[in-house]
Amino acid sequence: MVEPIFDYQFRLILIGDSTVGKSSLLKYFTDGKFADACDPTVGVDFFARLIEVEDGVRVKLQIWDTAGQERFRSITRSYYRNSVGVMIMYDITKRASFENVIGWLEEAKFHIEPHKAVYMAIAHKCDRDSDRQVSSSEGSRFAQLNGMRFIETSAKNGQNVEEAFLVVAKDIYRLLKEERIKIEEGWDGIKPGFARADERVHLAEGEPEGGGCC
Amino acid sequence: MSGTDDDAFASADEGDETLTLKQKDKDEGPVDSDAVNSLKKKGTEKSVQQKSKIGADTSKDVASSTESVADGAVKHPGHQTKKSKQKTKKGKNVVKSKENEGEVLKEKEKVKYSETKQIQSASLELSTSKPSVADDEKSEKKLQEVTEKVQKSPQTAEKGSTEMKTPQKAVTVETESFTKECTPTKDSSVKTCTAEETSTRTELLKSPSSQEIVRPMQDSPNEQDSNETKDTGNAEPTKSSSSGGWGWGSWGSSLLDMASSSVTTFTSQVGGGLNAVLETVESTLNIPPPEQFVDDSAEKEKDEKNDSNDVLTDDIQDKSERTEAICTEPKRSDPESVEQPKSTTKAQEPHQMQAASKTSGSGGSWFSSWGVSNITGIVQNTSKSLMTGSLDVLEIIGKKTFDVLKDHDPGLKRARGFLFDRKDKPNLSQILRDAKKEAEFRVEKEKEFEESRKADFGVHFDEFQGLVHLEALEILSQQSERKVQSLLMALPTDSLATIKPTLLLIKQTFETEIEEEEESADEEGSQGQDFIRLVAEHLAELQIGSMPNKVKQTWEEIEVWLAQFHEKKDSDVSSKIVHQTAIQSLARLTSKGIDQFHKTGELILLHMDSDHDYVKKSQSLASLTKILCKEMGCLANKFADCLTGTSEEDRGNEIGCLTTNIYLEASNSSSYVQDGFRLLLPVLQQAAIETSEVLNR
Repeated sequence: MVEPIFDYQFRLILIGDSTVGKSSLLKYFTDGKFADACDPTVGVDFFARLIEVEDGVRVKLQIWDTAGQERFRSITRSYYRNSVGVMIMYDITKRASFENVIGWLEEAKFHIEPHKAVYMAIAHKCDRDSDRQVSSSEGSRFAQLNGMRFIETSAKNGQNVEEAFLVVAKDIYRLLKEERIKIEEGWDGIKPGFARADERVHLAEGEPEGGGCC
Repeated sequence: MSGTDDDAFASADEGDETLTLKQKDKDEGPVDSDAVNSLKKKGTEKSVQQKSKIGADTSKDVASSTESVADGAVKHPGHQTKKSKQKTKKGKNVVKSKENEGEVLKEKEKVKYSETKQIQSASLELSTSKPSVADDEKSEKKLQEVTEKVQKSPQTAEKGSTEMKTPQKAVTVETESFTKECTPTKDSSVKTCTAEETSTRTELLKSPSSQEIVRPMQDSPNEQDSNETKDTGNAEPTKSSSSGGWGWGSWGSSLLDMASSSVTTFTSQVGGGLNAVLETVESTLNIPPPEQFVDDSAEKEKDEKNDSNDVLTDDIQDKSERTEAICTEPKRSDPESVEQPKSTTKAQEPHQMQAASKTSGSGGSWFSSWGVSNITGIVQNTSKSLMTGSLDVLEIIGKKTFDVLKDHDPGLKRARGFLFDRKDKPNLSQILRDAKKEAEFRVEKEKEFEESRKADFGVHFDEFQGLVHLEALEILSQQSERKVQSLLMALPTDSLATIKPTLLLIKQTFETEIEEEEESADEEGSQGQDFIRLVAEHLAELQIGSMPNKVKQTWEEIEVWLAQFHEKKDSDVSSKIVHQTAIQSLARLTSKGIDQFHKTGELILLHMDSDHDYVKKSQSLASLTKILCKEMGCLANKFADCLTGTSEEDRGNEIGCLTTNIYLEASNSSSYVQDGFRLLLPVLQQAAIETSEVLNR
């Protein structure tokens, strides 16, 4: 249960129309489970998971799962700024959700810039290929055109769920290494993680004693 | 770790081979073409190693002459200019011819590359590669032809540099020089040279060039090329060492050849010529001043001798890298050769003459026809290039290998131990034992760390998303704050007066409640059911719609744990576990509380509720905060009870510490909850303004 140590924390935000499956995808990513029924998200929810972007480099992904409902839009907007990765999801069986991606992208860019972020378009529910209304090529073309990563996922069968987050995390890590993204004061997109075990042991051990003195 | 060990073992095996080979080399002497052949068959890497070894061997020969050169250089720094010019030109030509040769052999070499790979896998048999044999035959024929040509018309060769440019000729010259090398006794060598020998040489000639081509494939060739072109001077010598007979390259060998033969004949002139060599080198190749150069080279040679063993073995050890390192050197020769080919007739002259003289076999007649001075010049040039070449080769090989070694093996401890002490096995087991110990220690440490983290409030608060909810709530709060300010600024004064009392009332609620809460901290904890009921009531008062009551869920889970704990009182639940659970429960409840506040704030902003009495709402929120904080204290009490219950046999002091820590974290929880509550103030104010009739008017 205890949270392991990580080197960095990347804050990602997951946006897109309501009912495209944002929370389901995150649930699958963090718990490995798929829930058929899902309460609509209120405001924003949080998910976290550790992944390895490179041998020995562990990153905690803190994902802000926003409500897709229009009424929450004014609130979710304020959460964009501190994100270093933006994942915009659409439902391949709902053409409208795909057409709204550009709006989500513009909104996110508007609030994030001048900070740099990695953008990804996620085509979700690709297990329902028979109901497909947006083709893969159309999706990937759109993403390419807008400088986004593209991936097709399904929380139902787990297809590409892991990969989607890994791709974004690796991109961010690369930019971080190239110093095109930097850890900044007053910006929470990327935060340094907890120190390594040997550096922290002393501190942690000291705490209970400190409690005793008080 | 296992990977490294494997490597080490593998390299050990190879190292043995190399050593035996080396031995063989020494026994049979460098002239033995069989030995060379077998060496060659061993594949690229090995041949590289052998080259360096050969370089080392040669270095001994060269060493003595180097010293004499050095002396000469110091003594007579005067007469070099002319000779140096000649020298340079010659060098260029030679290089060019080499290049041509490379072209001729390119195709074959490609084939060879694949072969070499196979050979690498360990087959030591000579006959494995048919193509190479075929190649050999071909080139043999060619060489023979050309040799004849040259023999017939040495004068022509001398006259026309243009002729010289044809690849076959170049090869011929080289072949001849090889011949010379094989039988260093002056002129007779050419005559005695049979077709067989020629073929052997051809092979020898080939082997270096094949490696040259192979290596670029392994490394990134472009980069090297560009780099190499720059340090032409160094590379040139390298080539000579790396290629051919027992290590000396085709043209390099020819030089060596010439040098050896001519040196014997005109020792006195050579002496003079040798000093010129260094200076020439300096002037033409941008090499440091003679004295320094001599020092360096001497050192290098020393290094080479001392470390040649290390170097070789290490080569094997870290194959790829070393191969790379060494590879680069031979490769360089090409670009240099490219640079130098601009040279003209003069450069070729000496070369050809030498060749011619050898071919004809009658040195005396040649001397008479061409004049002693001419030959002296040639000899000088030859010896110069020989010296510079060999020295540079040694220097480069030594330097590179040393660098590579040093990078991976600080102080060369590993290499030395590996080579001389052979203490690998005991060492390895020792290392393994140490590594195991270290790993165990680390695991233990990590466990400790994990334990401490388990009891860390902050960690759990973060884990249950309390921290990030608080953060998000902060963002929301700041946004509302700004909104409130801008709204108030925009309002006309009379509207402002209308709304102000409401805002102040809300503010007061937020402030007073906190004080009250602090007073109530000492109060008796609420009954379990009361807590749930009150929380639900207050949430309902907020009228924010149906929202999962996470606080309730969490609280119930904690109660379940506590009940279980009291049921099985006899079972030994350590105080540590109780402490951890306590901290975890507090953190979790706090997180859910903050979560609730955050959601409440979001929903309030959306004006989902029909009731717009925000003063009332803020009072509800305040009550909620109060209840939550009180509950934190209650839980702390409960867990403290648990601790004292379990802890009879534990040290009392430690229990005291843990109990205190629980109370500390409980108050920590309370302050987090209050923080969350306070952050809601601007949210409520914003909602109040936005929904007020004032604004709508």
